[in-house]
Amino acid sequence: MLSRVAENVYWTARYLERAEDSARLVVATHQAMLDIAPVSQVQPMNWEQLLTITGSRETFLAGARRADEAGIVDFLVRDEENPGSILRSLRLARENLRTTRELFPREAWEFLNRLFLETRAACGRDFPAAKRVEFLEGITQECLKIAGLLDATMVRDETFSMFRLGRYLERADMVTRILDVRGALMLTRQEVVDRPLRNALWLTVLKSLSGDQMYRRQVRPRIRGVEVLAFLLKDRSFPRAFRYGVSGVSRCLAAIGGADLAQGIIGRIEESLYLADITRLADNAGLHDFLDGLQLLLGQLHLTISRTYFDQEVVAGVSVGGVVSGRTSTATVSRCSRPPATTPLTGGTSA
Amino acid sequence: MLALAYAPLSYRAHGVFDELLMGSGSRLSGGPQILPDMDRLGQEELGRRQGAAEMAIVNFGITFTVYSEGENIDRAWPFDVIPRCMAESEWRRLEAGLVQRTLALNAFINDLYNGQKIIKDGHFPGEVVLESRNWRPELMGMAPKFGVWAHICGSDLLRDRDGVMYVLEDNLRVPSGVSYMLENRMLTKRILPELFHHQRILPVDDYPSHLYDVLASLSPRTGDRARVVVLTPGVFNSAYFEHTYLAQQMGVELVESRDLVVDADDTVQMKTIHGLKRVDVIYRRIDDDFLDPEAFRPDSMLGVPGLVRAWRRGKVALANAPGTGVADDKVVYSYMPRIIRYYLDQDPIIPNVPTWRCHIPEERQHVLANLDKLVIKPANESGGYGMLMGPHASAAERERFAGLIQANPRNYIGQQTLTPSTVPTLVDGRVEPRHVDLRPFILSGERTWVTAGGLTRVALRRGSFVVNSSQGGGSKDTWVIADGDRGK
Repeated sequence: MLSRVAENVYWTARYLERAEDSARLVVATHQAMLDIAPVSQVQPMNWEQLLTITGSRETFLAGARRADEAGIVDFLVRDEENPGSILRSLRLARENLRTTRELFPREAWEFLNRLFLETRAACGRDFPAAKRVEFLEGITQECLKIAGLLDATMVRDETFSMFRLGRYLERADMVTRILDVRGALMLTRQEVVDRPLRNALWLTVLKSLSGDQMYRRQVRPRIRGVEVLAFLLKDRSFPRAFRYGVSGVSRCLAAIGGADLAQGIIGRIEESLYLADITRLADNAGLHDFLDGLQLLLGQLHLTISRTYFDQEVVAGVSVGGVVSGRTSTATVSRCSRPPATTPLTGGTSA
Repeated sequence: MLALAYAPLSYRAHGVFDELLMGSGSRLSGGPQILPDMDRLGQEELGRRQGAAEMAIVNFGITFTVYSEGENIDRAWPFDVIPRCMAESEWRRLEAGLVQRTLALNAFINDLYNGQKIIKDGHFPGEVVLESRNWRPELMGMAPKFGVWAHICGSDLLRDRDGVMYVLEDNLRVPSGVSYMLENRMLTKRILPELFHHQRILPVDDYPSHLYDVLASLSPRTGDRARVVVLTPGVFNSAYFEHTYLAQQMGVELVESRDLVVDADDTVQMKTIHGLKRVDVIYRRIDDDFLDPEAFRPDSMLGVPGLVRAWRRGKVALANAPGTGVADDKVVYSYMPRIIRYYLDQDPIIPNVPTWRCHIPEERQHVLANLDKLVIKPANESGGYGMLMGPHASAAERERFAGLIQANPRNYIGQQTLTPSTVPTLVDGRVEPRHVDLRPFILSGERTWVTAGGLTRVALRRGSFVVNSSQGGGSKDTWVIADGDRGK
């Protein structure tokens, strides 16, 4: 597999997963706000947290945007100046797939192309809150359709592993972000947030990761913070749990081969999960630092994978150094994104 | 007596040859039931089908890329649902003519780089070649496998008012369009399945396998399975869709120049996630000039340094071979009848369009005296650029071309103006005649193979002859109808 192509496949997967997860996150928040708003004096949850989760607060504040529900949802869904918006993610997934589509079943390009075009068309129209859920659930479903298509039709080759690798890594990243902001916030305010409300909030966290039903089946019907945290961080069988994502990355690396350095970082992640005392994390404010540590390890994992597969310095002339994600003071590490696209080439002709 | 109209759809030919009413695939010669079939569907339903086709094109991302003002825009491929038809008997004759032409062209190129017998024997003026900017004297003595230089050729055919099919030009550098031929068939099957019931249409979808076989047969290594790649200039190229399409259909890697390196041993390697892997055959969709900065254009930053050296040392095969472009020239074209006679000792099966060469004084006089009747073309351009359509041009434009011709006579030819045949085309819900041409694709390796039909391009603007997609042209599915089944 070509290094350039591998990198495109990896980013297609990450952006597709990012669009899917973001859609889910906005829906879960939308529904939770409807539940919580009327019953509580304190407001432990708000739309602005989504800016922190997605690491996009600075971009949001840089423009003249309204910091209310409609303004934030617009920003997260259809603002192309937001590099992490759903529309932008779909566009970037499509741009990356465009140059690699010969590797995938042709329906993959058709589905993604149509998803982008339809989303863009819908984003250009009026955007009422009443249609929000249906619209965003549609996006999640379309993303799942593409993943399902690949799962059901592709040979298990390097392309497939590279795609899965990107999805798992993005998903693991998303779990830490959601837990960091929502979880840490709830835990630090335990004294002011009463128990029913706290449980409702944990339920939102689960729903953001499509984990509410699975939690009830796997753990217990009642929602308890410590157990939700343990489930989302450490469960080995729930596909959206952090550990599952990291093991997935590890399996993909093993299938592709030659990734000892990256496997070493996964070892360190496994180790810190093993050593983590969830009960203690749930009791005090150590959760934020812990999750921040995991995010930094994920950042290193990404860089190591890049250097192993994409930017090998085996040949003179071409070596693109990885960009180290800057750590920000606002709770979460900024999201990594693809280095800028290459410059236009000319020189072919079409007679 | 030929019918010049089909009354139920109020379709009329406008004093030119209409493929459907008069051609070999026409209704009256027992051909397809296309017009009655379409009449049965009704104009409204036809419009719906056209809408469905356009939707499918957008959803499948069948596009060509227009790069302008720093942004690349994917335009949906303009497709017309009404197919263009031809009887197999007529097609077989054209096919034989195309095979003949391509054999002669390859023999000609091989001769130019190895001995130049045709020049020494006085059948071809040497200065025409030596003055061509596509002539690569440094490649003299090269002998590609099977003596073939142009492995992939796209020749443009045009039918004039008199019903005769002419060859307009042979595209030997990086001809494009074959993916649209394949996609057009896929679309027609999807959108108008009814039309397939009355006749058997020769399939076209075996092109990628034939292409792969030809490419693989060029491999300099024996034993291992050949590693074939398609080399694209990148996503900004107007034919990028086709590059990905062909790579996908053949199941080979699509590479860009930056994915390839030439190592110390002059083998070509591609950069993979597991290090370097040797490449045997490159189907390059990049012009000679931009193939290798060490070879033809030292000022170019594009290409793979050392690629031509690797090819010359026989470490890698390139299709088409560097230097092939020398024969993709309107002046060389004008000598094709002689070239065919010289190498094959046969008369040309498909005639050339009558052509006058401006580097020959008496022919130049004829061109200059008839600028209002002829089409003037530069010898080396493609895509319909830099042309003068004499009968439609203003006096000032003709004046300008007279100056251009006198300044650089070698670079211009004059051609008799043809009136291309028409095919019914759906325009704003009505069936109207529009002018078409035909580009079949010819593959050459050990043997020569031609697509069944080709890409029919259609000038969508009323009265226009310009079929290039970059200038308002569209395309149609092309049906070669099996003889045995006609009139069923």
